[in-house]
Amino acid sequence: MYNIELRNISKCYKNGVVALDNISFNVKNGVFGLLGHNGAGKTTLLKALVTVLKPDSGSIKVCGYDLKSQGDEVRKRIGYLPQELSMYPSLSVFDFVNYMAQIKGVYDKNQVNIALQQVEMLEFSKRKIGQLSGGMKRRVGIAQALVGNPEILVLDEPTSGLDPEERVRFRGILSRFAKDDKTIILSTHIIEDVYQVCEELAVLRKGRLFYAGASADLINHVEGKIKVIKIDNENQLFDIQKQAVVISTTYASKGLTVRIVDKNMNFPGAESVSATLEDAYVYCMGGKNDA
Amino acid sequence: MRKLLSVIYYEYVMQLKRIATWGVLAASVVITLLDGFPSEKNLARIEFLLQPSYFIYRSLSFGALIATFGLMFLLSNRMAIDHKTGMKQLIMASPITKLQYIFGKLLGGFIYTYTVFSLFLALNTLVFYVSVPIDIALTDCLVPFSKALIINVLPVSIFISFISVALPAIVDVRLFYVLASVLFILNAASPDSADKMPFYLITSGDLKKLIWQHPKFPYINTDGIQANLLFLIGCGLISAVPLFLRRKLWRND
Repeated sequence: MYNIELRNISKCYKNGVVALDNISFNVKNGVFGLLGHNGAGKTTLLKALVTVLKPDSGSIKVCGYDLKSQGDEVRKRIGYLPQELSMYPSLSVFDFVNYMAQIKGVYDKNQVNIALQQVEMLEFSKRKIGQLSGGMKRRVGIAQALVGNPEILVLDEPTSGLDPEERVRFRGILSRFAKDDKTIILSTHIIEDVYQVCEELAVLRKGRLFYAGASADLINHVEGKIKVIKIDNENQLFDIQKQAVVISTTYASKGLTVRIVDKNMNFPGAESVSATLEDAYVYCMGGKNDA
Repeated sequence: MRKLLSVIYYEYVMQLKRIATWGVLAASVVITLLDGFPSEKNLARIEFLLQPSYFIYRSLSFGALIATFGLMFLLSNRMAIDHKTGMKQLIMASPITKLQYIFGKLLGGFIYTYTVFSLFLALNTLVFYVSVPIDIALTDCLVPFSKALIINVLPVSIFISFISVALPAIVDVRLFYVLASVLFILNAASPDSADKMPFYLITSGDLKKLIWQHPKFPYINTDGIQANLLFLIGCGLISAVPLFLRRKLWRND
């Protein structure tokens, strides 16, 4: 059984921008990645999922509850971290998470301590939010989403702006939470985060669903087609771009190294390397130039 | 009900924890005492200053106005800031209703305003009681103080908190400041406005006359008192109505 079922979700804003165009996919237990450029519709989709925004058409079921008719049941089961969140700076860490817990109907202060423990913020519980670093604030944001042990965790760009150490810590938190038959939807444009923790993912492009399924299957799309070519100058790079999708370019003291998806096998002599999720994602998005 | 109480409590706590709150309180108390401290010079200058009820009456005319504007400023972004910071999205994604959210904000602001005004009057009255050069029974101070808390501070707190929390959530906060300033200037610039329309003097309307009356004019204008009360409570309550009616303010359930 799927924990989240989205069917034909569409949303068009008043200014005519089609944010979501007939999106359908299912999400089961575990960490589910939502990938896409800025403006692809990820945040709009998540807002619809947490009942903050009403889609124009389509249906969403969360844990078997219909979002339209049983919104409160859905909200009771979801923990949410918005993309941009500036928490109340005058409150202490404990008070803020406790406030959010009480709004969710969780009045046991022990639950607040458990959530803070999960994100390794218990020792800072008396510190004011305004005195925390960016990474610590993010952890408090995750703690408020975790409080009350929700069945679904919806995280919108939770790692943006975090240093590598904080991102590793964050992935650890997610993995531990997902172990207990929970569902996490992780929206990001940092491929590494998805690669490390997500078994399944969806890729949105300009409001449309480009791919939904296992991460491994997405990689299989480009397996055997990823090649590395060493060239002398940028003129050669322009020639390559005409024949293949360029994933990345590395400038060295002598020449350039270009990583490409050689879909039509135009470069049989080039060195073949194993594909990564980033290769598959950039290929889906139309290559480096279009990305 | 518990969710509503949580919003009220944390709104109240957040406002009280602001340094600016204590700045406004300190400034208004100092200004009141500069004007009405029972010093020799002030006693010579102000005829009835030895009467505790007159001191409280006078406090409501001057220092309370400073507190009013300070509190309006501090309360004016309580809902707008949730929208700007993403907190509203987070709250809307929780199982809380629009009524609980709005009432929580309004009542949290009301209790906060009432607390600050009570502290303002309490501090002034305490300083007066300790410093006045004649023997005064404590009850002589407590009676007008308690009357002021009920008769004046209660409706004034409804007016200030509801208008300051609700209006900036409906109109641009800058427009709100302009409106408040225009009202203040009109009031201050018109020489006879206080006599013609005492009901719109926020802390200094006819209600204040229930605390102290000039011996030469020992009658109570009940119409003026009713108008003052109606203006304060009515404006406060009416300003909150658009919040409940505005559909864009909350998720579509």
